[in-house]
Amino acid sequence: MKIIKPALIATGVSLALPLAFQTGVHADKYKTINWTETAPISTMDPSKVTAANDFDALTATNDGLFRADKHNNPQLALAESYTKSKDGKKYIFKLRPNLKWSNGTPLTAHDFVYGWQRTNDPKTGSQYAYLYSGIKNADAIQSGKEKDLSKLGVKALDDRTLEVDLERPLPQLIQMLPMAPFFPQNEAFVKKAGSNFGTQSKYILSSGPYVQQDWNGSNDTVSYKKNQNYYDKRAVKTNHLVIKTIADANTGYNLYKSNTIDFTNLSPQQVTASRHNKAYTTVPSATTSYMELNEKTVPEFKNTNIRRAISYAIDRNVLTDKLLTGSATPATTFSSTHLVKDPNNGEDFSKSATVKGAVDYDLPKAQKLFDEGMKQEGKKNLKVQLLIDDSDAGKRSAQFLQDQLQRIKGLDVSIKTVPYKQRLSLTQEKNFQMVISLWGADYADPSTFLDLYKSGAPFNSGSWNNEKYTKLIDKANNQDVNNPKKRFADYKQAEQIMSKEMGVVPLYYRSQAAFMRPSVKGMVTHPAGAIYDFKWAYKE
Amino acid sequence: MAELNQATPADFTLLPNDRKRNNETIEKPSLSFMQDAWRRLKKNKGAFISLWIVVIIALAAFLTVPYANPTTTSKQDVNQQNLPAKVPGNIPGLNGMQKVDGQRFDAYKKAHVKQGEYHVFGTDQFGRDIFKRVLYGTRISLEVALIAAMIDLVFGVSYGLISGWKGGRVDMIMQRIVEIVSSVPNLVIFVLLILILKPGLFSIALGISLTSWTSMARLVRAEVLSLKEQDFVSAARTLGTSPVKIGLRHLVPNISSTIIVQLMFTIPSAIFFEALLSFIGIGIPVPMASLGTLLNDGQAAFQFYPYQLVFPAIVMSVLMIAFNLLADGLRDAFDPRTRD
Amino acid sequence: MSGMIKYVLKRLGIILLTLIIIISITFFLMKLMPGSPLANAARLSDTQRQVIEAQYGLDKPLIVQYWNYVVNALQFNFGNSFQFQNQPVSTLIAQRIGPSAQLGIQALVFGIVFGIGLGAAAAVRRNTAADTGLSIIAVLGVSIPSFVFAALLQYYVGLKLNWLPIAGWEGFKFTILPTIALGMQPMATAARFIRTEMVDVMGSDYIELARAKGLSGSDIVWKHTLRNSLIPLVTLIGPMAVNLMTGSVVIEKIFAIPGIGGQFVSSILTNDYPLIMGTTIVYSMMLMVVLLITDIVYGLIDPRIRLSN
Repeated sequence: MKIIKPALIATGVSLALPLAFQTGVHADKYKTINWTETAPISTMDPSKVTAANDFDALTATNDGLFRADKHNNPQLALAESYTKSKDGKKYIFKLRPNLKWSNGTPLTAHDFVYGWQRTNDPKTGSQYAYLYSGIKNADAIQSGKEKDLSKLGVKALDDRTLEVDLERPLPQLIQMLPMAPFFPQNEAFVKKAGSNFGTQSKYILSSGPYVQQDWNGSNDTVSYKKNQNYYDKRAVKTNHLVIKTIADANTGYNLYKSNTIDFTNLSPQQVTASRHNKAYTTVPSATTSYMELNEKTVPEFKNTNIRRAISYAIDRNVLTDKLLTGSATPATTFSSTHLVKDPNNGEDFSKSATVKGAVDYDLPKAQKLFDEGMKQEGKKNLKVQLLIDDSDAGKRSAQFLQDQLQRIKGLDVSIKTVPYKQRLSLTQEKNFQMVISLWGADYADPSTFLDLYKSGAPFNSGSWNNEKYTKLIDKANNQDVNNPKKRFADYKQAEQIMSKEMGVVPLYYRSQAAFMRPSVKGMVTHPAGAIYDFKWAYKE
Repeated sequence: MAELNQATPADFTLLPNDRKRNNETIEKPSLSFMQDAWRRLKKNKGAFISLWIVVIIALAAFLTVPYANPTTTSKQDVNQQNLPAKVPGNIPGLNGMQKVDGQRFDAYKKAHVKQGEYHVFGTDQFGRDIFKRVLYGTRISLEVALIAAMIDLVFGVSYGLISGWKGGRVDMIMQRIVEIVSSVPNLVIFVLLILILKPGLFSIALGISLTSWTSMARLVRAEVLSLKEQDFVSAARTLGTSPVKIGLRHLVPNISSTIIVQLMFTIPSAIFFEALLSFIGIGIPVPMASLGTLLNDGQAAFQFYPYQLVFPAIVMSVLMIAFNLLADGLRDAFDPRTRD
Repeated sequence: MSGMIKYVLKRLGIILLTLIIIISITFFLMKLMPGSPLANAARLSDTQRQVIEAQYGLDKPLIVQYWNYVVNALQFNFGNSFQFQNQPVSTLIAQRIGPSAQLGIQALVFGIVFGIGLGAAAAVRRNTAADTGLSIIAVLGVSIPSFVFAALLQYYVGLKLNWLPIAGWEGFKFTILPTIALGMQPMATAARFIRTEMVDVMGSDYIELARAKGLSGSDIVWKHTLRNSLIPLVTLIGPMAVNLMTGSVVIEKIFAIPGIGGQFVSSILTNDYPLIMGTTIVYSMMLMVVLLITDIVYGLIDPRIRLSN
């Protein structure tokens, strides 16, 4: 008998330990993840979000009808099933049973209706409401022509059934549903919080994996706790997540090296010295950097030869390998890489649409085209100003481009540097000669890029007008909208016209070089929408 | 008394015509105020060496225009990026060897640099020669500082002169304005200005002098207040000399020492302030370079390419220390209290 | 005492006037600026844009906007930030002013204490090699920009030696490196000032007298010279405060300190006009209060200065 006693105790201990792991807050099986972002959170209101890091924080605390998986494919999340009508203009979503907000109140289809209506309500001033364009009456409500919010094409048939009516088929609808502006919002809570909604942790509710804890509206260190009311809480392994704001690249690097943080963005110089490090990783992003040539302020840019000359003078390999090391790959199309696969051949759309030799480096050819173009225009020399913002990448690219373009004899380039927001306004007002722009995909579909350059479209800042191009885009949006293969063929053809004509000059596809501690597993990154999804992440 | 009468004319000799001058000859050579200050500055070894350092750096920066100008300093050869310093001969640390990402190699050989080509300060990420960039950057920094100093000189001095000379109500109002301007932090004024003006050499200099002129104006006013009670000024005024002429002919020469010393303090602080702006991202815009932007680029990479920080930092520190010691020395030299 | 109260009231009046002028200038400068606070302006319908502009009061005539702004600003209400949705600028500043103030005061104390030490040591060994050396150390603080110095401190002391935290704001230990980095400039200013003052005082008659009376060297230095040199140092605190405010912008970014300096920089980059204006006004106000306090203190400790003047 005496022998058994210690054994019993031992068994008791071994039984108690796993229990403690399962229930105890202090004995977490997985460690706290210390993440970093480069800017502080500016809002937690899903209707008002604009900044990339706000998308991350909202996605950590919320779920939509769908959630993007690690391949960026939308998977059913709060919805458990859906049906789509034959003409593609009606969707019915069935929500999971017993969904709850983080405060325990039931989460129903009405919350989606309210959230969507609130985003479309012009009084909210949502800057992402345009994504709803195509949902019944969305445009009319946003422009104030339709005052009755309930006319928006979204209805709760019962607590678990949501019906969405469209004006025209939206092939990208499911791709957009994991985005913050499509999240549910609890009417009672939002109304009670009033103008405070989304301005502090206590004024937000979670429908997703984590609950935000101590954001006071402006602090730099914000922590997140696992949401015990989340329907899929078993998939969430991390109990505690901390996101810090670190604006300086050296500081982030040093903090990572001292084991204080688990993630930091890397500057090109840091990349050169870190490529053999196990923690080195690149996060792809569906973002393209391109040059817009303003035909309104520089008439010479109407000449295709001159536009092509400019493109041929740029050695994109040197730009991406040597100067933007780790954070860029050479671009051959306007549509970014990692955006979507072409259903016709299964290739990445940007690769499938690339015209061989159209976007390339060939200085003698550039000179020849330039001379030809200038002859046609009856001019000898061309002086242009390149507008950039004061970001590190902007300054690097501009100094490089200036040197490259001036290798064309007869072309003189100067640089104008302004803050980021001013660059945006000047571009939108078409008050520039050349500008380096960045466009990030809103959702995984070529329309997020190519619709921008339709004739007369608001983001067509260079005023490049091509009838054939515009016709193809319209065809993709109307005639071929329910036929993915034909639709992609239209977009591909449009993209190729743009490449041959140099409607915009693609520079590079952006990515983000970073250190991510190898012990952090399950981290999901997306090239569009929220970049980082912490739902499945854990640290050993 | 009778004895006196015995003196004959032969006992006397005629004094020469220039007797007066001979008698009053000053044994020491006569020195003007400036000469005296110069003599005493020479005695202060630190300040005197500093003066030469400033002169040499300024000459190096301004005489090398053909060698280091916007065209040559922006010439890129990205294949030769981030080369460490190399000088002829095999001096450890300056032989082109580099350690990056755990590997040690001859960076020059790896980049296929021609034999006999040297970059004494190394190259930056664009493959631009840092030595040329430093010369160019020093010139731009000095230009910014000199323009700021000129604005101080023209505006600050005339403001102080007018305020001190007019006195009374005018002085009161002008002093309130100075107080208001100097109670706004300089960075704030600068930021507001630079957001409106196009960033560039002149607007940055203007932004810097927008606050610094107040100290000049204050000092000049104080001097004028005491000078205008003195006799030579009253005399000039009685003779009907115009106020402008009194200001330029009588007052300015008498307060020139104060002005010079103050300018010597303005120049380094302008260089320093521009450097700080570079870090915030509102300094001299690309593709121009200043010591500030070079330091900012350098500090971003110093863990990997320390030479990109070290060389601009040495030039900056030497220049700043020299300017400051020179200013201190000048102040002592001009100060009548420390006269020996 | 009544003279003192009158003086303070008069100064407060001037401060108020100055504030109104600063508010007016910043308001109209901001109106001149290009760029909109909206990131996605081209995507908004006209109605939505009008709604947003109405929320920020941008729809009213300029003169009305101006009047409202001045009246509200004097009550510390600077409107809502553009960048931080629905967040009042005054709250944003209030939440972050603590660390900035702490850092500023610590740096000031550090700079003055070490500056006095360096300056006094240099003055006592006047015109020796030690004097030159100490002077150079003092000037070093103003010869390398603080961002370089801070980056070096962070890398060598924080990462390589691992003596102190690299960045963050979680206790006194975290404040040491930023305090040193920020305190270098006031240290240099104080050291040079003290050295000059002491050299002056040491040459004066009453020190000669003290020496003639047979007082020991250290007594002369500490009791007479240094004490007399300290009083004018008070007048330097104002200019030092300006430098600290400027410097803190850099230091807060590098050491990831949740203060208003770092926020100010990001507000410039995001065209967050209300936040820029609010921070401008708060900075100016702090500076004016510091100037007022130093003047009062100077008047109290040095009877020769009459405040009413």
